[in-house]
Amino acid sequence: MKTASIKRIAFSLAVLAGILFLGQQAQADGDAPFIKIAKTGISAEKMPAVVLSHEAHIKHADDDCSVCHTEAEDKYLNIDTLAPAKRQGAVHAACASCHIQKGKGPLLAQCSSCHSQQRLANLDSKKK
Amino acid sequence: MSSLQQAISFLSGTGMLIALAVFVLGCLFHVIRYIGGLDAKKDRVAYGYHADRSVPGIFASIFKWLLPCATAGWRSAPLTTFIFFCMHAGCVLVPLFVAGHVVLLKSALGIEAGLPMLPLAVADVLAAVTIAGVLICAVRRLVSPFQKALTSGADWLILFLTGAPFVSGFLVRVCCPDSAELMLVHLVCGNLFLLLAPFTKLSHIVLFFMSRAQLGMEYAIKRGGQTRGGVFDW
Repeated sequence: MKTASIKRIAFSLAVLAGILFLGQQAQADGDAPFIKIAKTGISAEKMPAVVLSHEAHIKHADDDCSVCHTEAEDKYLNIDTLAPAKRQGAVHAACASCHIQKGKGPLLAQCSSCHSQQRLANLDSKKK
Repeated sequence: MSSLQQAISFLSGTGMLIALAVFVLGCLFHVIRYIGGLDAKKDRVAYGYHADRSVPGIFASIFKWLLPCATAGWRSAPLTTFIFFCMHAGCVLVPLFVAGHVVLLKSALGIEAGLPMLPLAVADVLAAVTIAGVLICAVRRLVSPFQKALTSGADWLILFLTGAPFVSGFLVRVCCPDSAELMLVHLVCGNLFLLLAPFTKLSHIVLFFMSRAQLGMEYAIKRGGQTRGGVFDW
């Protein structure tokens, strides 16, 4: 084979690989932005913080923001008003009941689906 | 909800409560039957007498057998004792105190207060140690001539009932956190443990305390117990 042809093929393959790789990245961020549920009073060593897809939740909430943002736009699920000991139970009940009602989203028994160490690490690395 | 999610929902809610109720009631039944079966004449132990010796005797016996070096029996087999205690530490601590279980129980019972939660790293280590302990017990039953002669299906059953929830739970943690199927396997194995425990040798969960209490009483009443300085003069 001629050197020029080999170079062209190699270049095309490299471009293809690059497109596929970037495509994968885009897929992974398909439900971006991801947000972290903070201030639940549970330390990270007991459970990694929940990281969820805001886009997916907007879609399933039928654009009614007050389902989660019960008090104000920048607050959610009454976390600030509840006593720290009650936050975890209240948040679990709120999230799980909606997931069951809509028939979508993880159940309470699927801990790691919401408390995903992987997604938390991704989010933390992006913020840096 | 898909049928998989319905199954998960049941086995982590109502189903779990049913299994827990069977476990608690079954253990209670064992306790009542054991105490009801004590007979001063047949056992030749005056259970109703010498309470000043027999009651401390109960607690001394239970307490000593809960510590790895406190009895001659444990000290006579140090390696086995070490493995047993490591395995039982995980068997007891992980199902009770791992975060997921605490949360599910609180949610199923509708209560806010719950048991304290273990850090995930600690739970991982305990679970790994328990799995290793169960495997060592299984190998021991195949290799040791004494064990081989005594082993029956009942022994293999409880090794399976104990090992399965630990292995499946550990796999969910380290390999496939997002797998709903693996979580279902874990739920089935865990609920099976609770349901069958009172009907298998796993009833030693309560019967250990019963037999240690009875023997502690007997040694204290008939042979003086702690009045001999807590050590039996063989």
